[in-house]
Amino acid sequence: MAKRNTNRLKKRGVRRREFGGRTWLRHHRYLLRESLGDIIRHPFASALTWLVIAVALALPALLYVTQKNLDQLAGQWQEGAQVSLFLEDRVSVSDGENLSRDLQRRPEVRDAWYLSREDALDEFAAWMDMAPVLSSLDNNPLPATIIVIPVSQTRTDIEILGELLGSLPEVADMQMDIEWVQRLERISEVLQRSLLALSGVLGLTVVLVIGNTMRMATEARRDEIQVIKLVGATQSFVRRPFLYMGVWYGLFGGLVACGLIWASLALLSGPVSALADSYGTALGLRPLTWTEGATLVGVAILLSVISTWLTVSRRLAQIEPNPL
Amino acid sequence: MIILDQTTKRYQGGHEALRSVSLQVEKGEMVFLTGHSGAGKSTLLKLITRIEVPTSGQIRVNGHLLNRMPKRQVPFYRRDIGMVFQNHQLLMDRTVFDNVALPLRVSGAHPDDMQRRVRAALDKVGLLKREKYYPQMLSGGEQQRVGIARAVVNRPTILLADEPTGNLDPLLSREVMNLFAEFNRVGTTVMIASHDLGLIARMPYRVLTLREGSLVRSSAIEGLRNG
Ligand SMILES: Nc1ncnc2c1ncn2[C@@H]1O[C@H](COP(=O)(O)OP(=O)(O)OP(=O)(O)O)[C@@H](O)[C@H]1O
Ligand SMILES: [Mg+2]
Repeated sequence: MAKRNTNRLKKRGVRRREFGGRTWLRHHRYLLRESLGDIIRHPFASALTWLVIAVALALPALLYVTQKNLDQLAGQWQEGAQVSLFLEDRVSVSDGENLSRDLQRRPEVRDAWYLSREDALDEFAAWMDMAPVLSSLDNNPLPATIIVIPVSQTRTDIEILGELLGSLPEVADMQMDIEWVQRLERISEVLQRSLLALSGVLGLTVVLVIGNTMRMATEARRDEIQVIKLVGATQSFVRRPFLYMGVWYGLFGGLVACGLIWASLALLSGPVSALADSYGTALGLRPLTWTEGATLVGVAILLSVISTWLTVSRRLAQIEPNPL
Repeated sequence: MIILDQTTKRYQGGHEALRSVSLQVEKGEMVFLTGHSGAGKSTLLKLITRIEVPTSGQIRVNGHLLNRMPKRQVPFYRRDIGMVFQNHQLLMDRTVFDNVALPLRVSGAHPDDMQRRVRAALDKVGLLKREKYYPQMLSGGEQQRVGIARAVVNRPTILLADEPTGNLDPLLSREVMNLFAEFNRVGTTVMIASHDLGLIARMPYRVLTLREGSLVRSSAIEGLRNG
């Protein structure tokens, strides 16, 4: 492309000092210095734009993190899926223990154990840290329970087993944790859909915000654009500093977005792990991985550069020198 | 070097700024372009610098037919032409040095080369000591000379100037004109649009006169001077 261009110019005899490799590098180093210097000299002018970009990016990213954590939660719960059989009050402790031993021998059952009403209360108290409240109760409200861990972890197998065991005469009520798994999966799906929609809308926001910023930047440098066009600047030469600006907006916007996400997760992680502890699962909030963070920044830069390119190219075509 | 062949320029709105103008400026020549306000002097210069394109007729500069020049080639063409403007078109937030260096930066000159040539150009207009100043810190005449330095820093083969002495006092005007004559002496083709007939008449160069967009015979300057 460049070569063809040069040839054509030679043919027409336009003396052209082309940007060779070394010159090109030097030019880019110069632009890098200039554009960074610009940011350092006017940090507040660009910081506001970064912040807008960051918020627009952080919202879908946070939704993504939430969804990811829910998926993980669903996965974990499915692995430990269990069936709780709440026994009738009339079933004695020894009958209950016998039943749990019988169930243990079934091929679909990996493990089963009996919790007496007192065990259940103790465990509940320990989980919820509510011992004083519970000890003040006159009656123990909790039923004796048999916990059954199925061998197969697929949803239908668990459902069949649950139905079967639920029909035992000793069992008053049956609960499968599978319902939670299903619910989580449904929530995750909803989140995923909203994530798509939100990403679209906010991606467009980033493009528009950058576009507007660049439109103002070209307006502010109108004189300069006219003058350098007059002294022989090519379209790409005039556009290049703006593209650098676009890269910085994307980069810093993306980094600030990562910071916002990190801060939100740090705020949430305490309460979440306390909650998880109370359910007996060792569950930490998974933060953004390096790859995800890098992707976020990459997307920010890409959006910004595309928007800059489109806006500035259109503007530059309009700003023609008219000095005389 | 510069050839116009029955060139007409009609602006949007229908005003004919130039009417079938034919002229030829030889390589290494220096000419003045005069005429009343609105006669089409600036229009002619805009056509030569390819800021405007003619409505009809041809313009050939340095062997390039401007009518057919594709847009993307225009920047490279302009690098071979120096332009000085009445309102000098300097960037107020750049130093004198950076202003003069612009044409070199645009064409990717080496920094050492750039420094040397900017200094040489500033030296020629007598502003070497002002390279770190900003344009606001200079007088009108000094600003004009910075504009001239910028126009010649690329060693263009053609130098165009539109009212370069427009807001200078007679003495400074003289100096600026002499500067152009000096560039012409080393081989640059020079074309200057000016109102300043008193000054032009004193210099030994051909005069092209525009009247209502048409070129009148060169000798018309005599009539103007007497009348
Ligand atoms: N961009 C434009 N659009 C429409 N008409 C224009 C445009 N530029 C100039 N004109 C008209 O063309 C005519 C010639 O203008 P031009 O600027 O060439 O005159 P000039 O000889 O340079 O005058 P002056 O000495 O006042 O600078 C004028 O009548 C002007 O109104
Ligand atoms: Mg004019």
